[in-house]
Amino acid sequence: MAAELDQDLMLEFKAAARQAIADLGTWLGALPSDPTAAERITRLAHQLRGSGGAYGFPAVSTAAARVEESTRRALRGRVNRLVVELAAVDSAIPDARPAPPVPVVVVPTLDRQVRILIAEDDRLTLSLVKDRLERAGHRVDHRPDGIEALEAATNGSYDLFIIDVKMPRLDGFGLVQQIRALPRYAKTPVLMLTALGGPQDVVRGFQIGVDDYVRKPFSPTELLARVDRLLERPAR
Amino acid sequence: MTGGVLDGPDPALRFLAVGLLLLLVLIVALIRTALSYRAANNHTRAEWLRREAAWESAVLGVLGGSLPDAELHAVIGSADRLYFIEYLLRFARRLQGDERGTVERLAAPYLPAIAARLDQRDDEFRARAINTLSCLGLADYGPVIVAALDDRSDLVAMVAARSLARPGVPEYAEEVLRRLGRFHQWRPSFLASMLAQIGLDVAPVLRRTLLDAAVEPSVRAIAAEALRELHDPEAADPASEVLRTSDDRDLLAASLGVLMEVGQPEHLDLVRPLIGSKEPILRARAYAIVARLGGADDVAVIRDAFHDDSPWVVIRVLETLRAAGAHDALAQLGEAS
Repeated sequence: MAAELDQDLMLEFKAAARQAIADLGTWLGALPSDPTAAERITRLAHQLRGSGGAYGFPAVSTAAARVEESTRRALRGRVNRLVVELAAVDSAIPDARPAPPVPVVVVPTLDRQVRILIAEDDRLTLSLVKDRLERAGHRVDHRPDGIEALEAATNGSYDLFIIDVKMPRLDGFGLVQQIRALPRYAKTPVLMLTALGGPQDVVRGFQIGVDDYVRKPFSPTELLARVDRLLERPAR
Repeated sequence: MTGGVLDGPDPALRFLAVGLLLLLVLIVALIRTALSYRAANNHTRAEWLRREAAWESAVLGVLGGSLPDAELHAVIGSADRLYFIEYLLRFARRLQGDERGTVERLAAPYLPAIAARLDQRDDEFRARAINTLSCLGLADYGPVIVAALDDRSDLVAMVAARSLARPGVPEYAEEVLRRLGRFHQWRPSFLASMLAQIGLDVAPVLRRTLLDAAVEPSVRAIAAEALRELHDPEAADPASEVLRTSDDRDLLAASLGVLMEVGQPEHLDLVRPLIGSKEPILRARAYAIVARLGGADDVAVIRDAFHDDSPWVVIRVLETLRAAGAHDALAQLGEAS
């Protein structure tokens, strides 16, 4: 696709992308003190994402989308990831000339990557959830049934669980009960993603320690918003 | 020399040997054919898995906002378009909100090929096409799907009706109700649930249908049943009006069903006469309404229900009293009987 583009247009794109990166760097430096910086970075990254796609550089688009996403998260103090992603945009531009240096931002509070375990036996639903959470910078593990998910929870350490109700071997309700019985997960957020959305299912879920419900079919954007809300709120 | 081994093998043995040889060749050929078919199937399967993996990555990219639509369309070969639509259906069934809209946008360029399938003779092809169009392009293909309500096949018409009776989309309800009479193969309760799943937005259309004397009584009864499922409080007056004007048993029973859910004491004057109906279902429902909404004066009426010829009437009244928590009345009636 890129080969078919007019050479002048290609040069124009590269110049614009470089300028965008330089501007992004400037605004990144201003981020801790200037409240408008995040909005400007988001807008620039969005433009870069669009032009990367239009000029046939999907890697630029992908990296710019990550910058966009990370900028939103940066508002909550996770700027370190943004620095890394900004460098990725630069390296994604072909035939790179020496890029303007990306300023290193010292951020006082750096969050570690959130670890999420998904117990879900539907492959496509899993892909939709996993993709959205990973784009948001979370580390995601998954298991296809309740027993395997319980083993993973027992042997690992997770900050949040996303659990389907209807699963082979051990269903979601049973899994939540078993997870809640482990002392270190007594207050870990649990979100149920299920087609069983009747009032009795919801009540049962809340009784055994589910923190939130998302009904299938679902919106990954809504799911991510709920995950973020659960991660930000104080432990129960 | 005569006879013996030097004259060559016995013709029967020779025939047997040739036969065995041919059989062996045939078996080998069959095994080779089976293996080659299996290899071809494995290859096809692997090819589809590879293709679907590429599609999945691209669709997730678009949904995540990191890939422009054009780049996804560029990877869909012209021969794969119908398969890709099937593939997008899997996403559409799992998504709602903005992402569902994105999937519908991605499907739009391929839907004309699906719409062209509505000319095919095979009923199942047309039904499948309607299902796909409604799932991925109801906004653009609504009129096409409405036209399918008049398809020569009841199956296709029913798929169209179910597609149009979508939660939160009441604008096609009138079209569906107008053709409801053709779906006599389906149970009325199924048809009522189909309409009720649209949600309370459909209630005004259902109330109009219930009151319309020009509409078949069976369709009006289905509208009443749907209103009962929706617990529509405004359905009580139209339902009581039906009690005053109709003598169709099923329509009366469905209207009483509405009053059992949302009726008020002021409707009792139209309900009480049906206690004397010769139809057990009307008596049972009328008694149940009186038991739920009536006052102290109605205890004697309820007591009569215990001597009804139909055990269903008695059971229905007991159930209503129990559900209403009228334990004293139950005890009183028990002692009296």
